[in-house]
Amino acid sequence: MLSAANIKAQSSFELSGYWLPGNSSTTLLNSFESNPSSFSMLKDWGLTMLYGSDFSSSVTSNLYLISLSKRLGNNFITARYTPGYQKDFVFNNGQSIILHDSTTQSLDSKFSYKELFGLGFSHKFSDKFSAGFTVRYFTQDFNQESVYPIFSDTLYLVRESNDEKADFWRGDIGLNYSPSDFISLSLSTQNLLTANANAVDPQISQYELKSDKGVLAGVSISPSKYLGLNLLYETNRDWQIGFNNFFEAFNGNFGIGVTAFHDKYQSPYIAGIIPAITYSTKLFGISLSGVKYFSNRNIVHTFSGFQNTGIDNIINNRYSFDKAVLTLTFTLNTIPERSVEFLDVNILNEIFPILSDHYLDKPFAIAKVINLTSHVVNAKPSSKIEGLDNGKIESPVVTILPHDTAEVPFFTIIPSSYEKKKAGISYVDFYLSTTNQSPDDQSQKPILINGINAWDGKVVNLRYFIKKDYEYSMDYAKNVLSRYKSELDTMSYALSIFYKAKILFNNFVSNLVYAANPSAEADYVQFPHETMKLKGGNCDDLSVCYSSLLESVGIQTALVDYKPVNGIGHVNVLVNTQLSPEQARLITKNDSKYFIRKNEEGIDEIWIPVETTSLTNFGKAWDLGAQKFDDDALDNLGLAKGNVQIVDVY
Amino acid sequence: MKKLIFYLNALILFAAGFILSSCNNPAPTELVQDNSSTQNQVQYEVITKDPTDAAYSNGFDTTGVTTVIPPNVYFINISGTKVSENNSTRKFSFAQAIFTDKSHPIMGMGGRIVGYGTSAPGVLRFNGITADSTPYRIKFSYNGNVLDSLLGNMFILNNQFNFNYGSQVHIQYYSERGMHGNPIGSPIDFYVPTPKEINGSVRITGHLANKSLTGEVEWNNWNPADSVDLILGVATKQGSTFPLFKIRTLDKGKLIIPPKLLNDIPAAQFNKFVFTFVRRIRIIRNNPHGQALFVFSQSIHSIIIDIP
Repeated sequence: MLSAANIKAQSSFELSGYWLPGNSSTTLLNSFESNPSSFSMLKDWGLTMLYGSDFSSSVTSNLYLISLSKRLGNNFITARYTPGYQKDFVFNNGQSIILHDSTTQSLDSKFSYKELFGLGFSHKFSDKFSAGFTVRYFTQDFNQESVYPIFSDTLYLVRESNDEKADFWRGDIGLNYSPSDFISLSLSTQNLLTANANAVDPQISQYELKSDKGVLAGVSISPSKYLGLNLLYETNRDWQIGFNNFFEAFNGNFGIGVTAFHDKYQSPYIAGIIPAITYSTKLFGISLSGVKYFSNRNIVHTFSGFQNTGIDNIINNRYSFDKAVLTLTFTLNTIPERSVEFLDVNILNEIFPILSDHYLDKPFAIAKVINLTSHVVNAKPSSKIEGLDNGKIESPVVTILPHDTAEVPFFTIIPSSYEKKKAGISYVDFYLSTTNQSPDDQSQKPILINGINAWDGKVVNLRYFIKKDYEYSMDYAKNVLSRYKSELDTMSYALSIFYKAKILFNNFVSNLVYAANPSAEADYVQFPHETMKLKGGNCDDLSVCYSSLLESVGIQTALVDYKPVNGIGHVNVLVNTQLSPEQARLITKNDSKYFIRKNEEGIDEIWIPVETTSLTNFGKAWDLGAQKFDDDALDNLGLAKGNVQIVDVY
Repeated sequence: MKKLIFYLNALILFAAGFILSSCNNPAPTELVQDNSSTQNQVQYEVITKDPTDAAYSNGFDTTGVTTVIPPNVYFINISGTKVSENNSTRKFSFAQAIFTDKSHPIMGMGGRIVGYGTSAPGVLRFNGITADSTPYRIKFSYNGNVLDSLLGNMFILNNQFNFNYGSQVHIQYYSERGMHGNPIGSPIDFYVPTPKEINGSVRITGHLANKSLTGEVEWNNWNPADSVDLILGVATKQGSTFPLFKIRTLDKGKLIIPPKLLNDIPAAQFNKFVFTFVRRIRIIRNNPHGQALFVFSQSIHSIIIDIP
C-alpha cells in the first residue's frame, strides 16, 4: 500500500552552528557531524548537553544531546546519547473503518526516526594530524494501525497497531589535518559502513533511512586566533559556511558566529541560518544558538510530498521547525595543565661522587625548557639520580617568559655516605614543576656514576680526597706527633709547624715502600688511609695523603700542579711554615728552598715545596721539591705561563 | 581532592536533574493525505454482523448483487454482472426498480419498522424491454429467528436485456398501464450511463490452517478519483454465501487485502472465498413528487475460489 519514499540518511548539521574546531568550548566535544574524526582539544573530561525548543505550532522543549568525553593521552573517546535527534511523522494512512452507526474510525500511522547514541574514538598522531572513527546507532520505528476482525457472536472490526523496527548501525572514519594555525582541513566518510540490526517487511523497507555513501570535506581558515571561517561540503552537494569571531572578556572567551546552510532537499537555496553566541572559560562553556529557516515551517504537509522528497537529515530537513538551543559544556581537568615542557636535556659530565659539594654550584646537566603558556612561569627543576640520591634534589627556580625558552641548570648533592668503588651506568629523572602538584613534564637520561676513588684529573679537585679522610689523618697525625711532644714543646713556637711537617713526613715515608708510576691509573686517587694501607701510591696519592695529615693538624698546605709535559703531569705539596721571611734563616740559608706567599691579611709567609714521592726523608724531599719548584715554576716561568699552578687546599 | 569530588557530584546532580526535566520528544510533523498520494484510500465496513444469520444474505446472491437498498427512496439498480468460478465465467444483466411509499411503514414484531410499502404501478422499460412486476420480500432477524415480510411489488428485469458497459441504458416509465399491460400516456424517460466493465483477479497464497494467507486483488482501473467496492465474502460447503466485509477503495486497480481479514474467518464453517468487485455510477434524480430517485449503474465481477 505504501510506495517508495526518497529518504536520505543523517548527514552533517550542527544545532550550535559550525565553529572553528577546538577554538571554543562550545565546539561540541561530541560532534560527529562537523568534527568527523571526533578529536577535541579537551584535556581530560568533558560533559556536553544540548537543550532546546522546537517552535512548531506549539513549543516543545527537549534534551537534544548529552555526551561524555575523555582524553587518554593522545586518545580521545566520546559517548553520546541523543534523545532529541528524532523526527516523527504522523498521518492517517488512508484507511478507515465504517462502524455500525455509520461513523468513521480512521487508521493512523507514525514513522519515527531516531539517532539514539553514538561512540567516537580518535587518536592524535601529531599536533597536526588526528584520525578517528564514529559508530552511531539509529532506530526507525514504523507504527501502522491496521484493521482487525473479531469473529465472535457478532462480527466487528477493530484497529490493531503493528510495529516494524528497522534499526541499524552506521560507522564512519574521519581525519583532521592542521598544517598551520591558519588552516585546518577535515575529511570523513558518510555511511561508510552500515549494518541492519533487524530485517523488516519489504513494504516498510522502502521508508528506511537510505545509506547512500558519500564524503564530507571541511576547511577552516583562521587569519587570527579571534577569527574563523569554516566551510563544509558534502558530495551530495549540501554545504554549510560559518563565520566566527572571538574576543576575550571577563576571564573568558566570547564568541559570536553565524552559519548558513544549503540543503538540496529544502528551499530556498540558503535554507536557513544558525546564529550563535558563546562564552567559555577553562571550566565551562555556554552557548545560545538558534536555527532559523527561511521557509514557513508551520504549513500543511502532504504525505505525497513526504513520499516524493523524504528527508536527508533527522534534525535538519524540510519538516524541521525553527529552534532555540542552549549548549552547556563542562570541562573537568584532573590532569594538571602543562605549563612548561622539556625540549632537550644535556648531561654535562659524568658524576664523580668524591666531588660532593662541587655539584652544589656547578650543574651536572642543563635542560632547554619552553614556557607553553601566555604568562610568566616559574619553573621548578628537580632531579633524582638513581643509585645516588634518595629523593628529588631541587635546583633553583627559573623564570621563563611567555612562550619563551630558557636553559635550566640541574644541581645535585652527593651523600657523604656514598662509598661505591665501582663505576656504573645509571639514569637521572628530570622533573619540571610549576605548581606543588605533579610535574608538568619529566625526562630521563642515562648517566655514568664513577667510583668514590675516581678523579677527573683536575688537581684542584684533589682537595676532596684530602678532606674525605680527615678523621683518619687526624688520628694518625696526632698519634705521631704525640710521640714528639717533649721536643715540640721545648722548641721555638715559630719553628713548630716546620718541625711537625718534618716529623709527619719522616714518619709517613717510613711506612711506605714504593712510589707508583705516575702515569698509572691517572683517574684513580687513593684516600690517605688506603695509601697507608697499601704502603704506596703515585704523586697524587702521596700528595693527598701528606697534605691530609698536615691539614688535619692545622698546617696549611697547597698542591703544586705541574701541568702535563709529554703527557705526564705531577703534583707535590707546598707547606706553609707560617715563618716570616726574616725567620726563614731558622730553617735554611738557601733562599731557593722556600717560596714567599702573602696570607689573607697580606703578610708574607714562608712556604716550602716537598716532593712526596721522595720516600727517603724530609730533607731530601724538601730539596727535590724545592729544586723542581725552582726549575719549573720560577726559572722556566711556569707560574707566569700557567704551566705550574698552586692550588690551595682550603 | 575534596574539592574535586564536590565538583563532580554537583555536576552529576545537575546533569541528572537536567535529563529528568527534559523528557519531551520533539514535535512530530502531521502529514495529510492528498489525491496525488500513492497510498490507497480504503474504508472497511462489516456487512454481516452474524455470518451465520441468513437474514443478512439479503442482497448477496450468486449474482453478486450486494447493494443495500435504501428503505425509503425510489430506487433503480442496473447491473452487468459476471461470476467466475473454476475457470469459467457466467454473465448476467439485472435491472430492478423499487418505489417506496414513505407514508406506509411496515411494522415488524415488537413495533419496529422493518421497511416501507412498495408498489409497481405503470410500466417500466429498460432499453425498451418491459420489466416484470414481482413481489418484494425482505428478511430480517427477530429474537434469533429469521422472518420475512412482503413489502409490496417491485420491477425486475433479470438477464433479459443487454448491459452495454461504458455506454448507457435507456429508461422509460409510464405511470399507467392498459388492460393488457400496455403503457398509457407519455413516459418519463432518461438515460443512465454505465461504467466501464470491471475485470478482477485474485491471488491468494499461504494456508488458512496456519494463518499465513495473503491476498492481493487487481482489476482494470478506470477513474482513480472514483471508488470501487470490494466485497469479501465466504461460502459454505452447502453453497450459501455470506458477505463479510465491504472494502471501498479508489479505482486504481490494485489492493492488498489485510491478512487478518482472511486468516481470522472461522475455518470450520466456510470453504470458499467470494470476492466481488463493484464499479458503480450513482445518480440521484429529483422527481416531481418530491421523493428522490436513486439510480445505481454498476459493473460487478464476483470471483469464487476455494480457501487454501
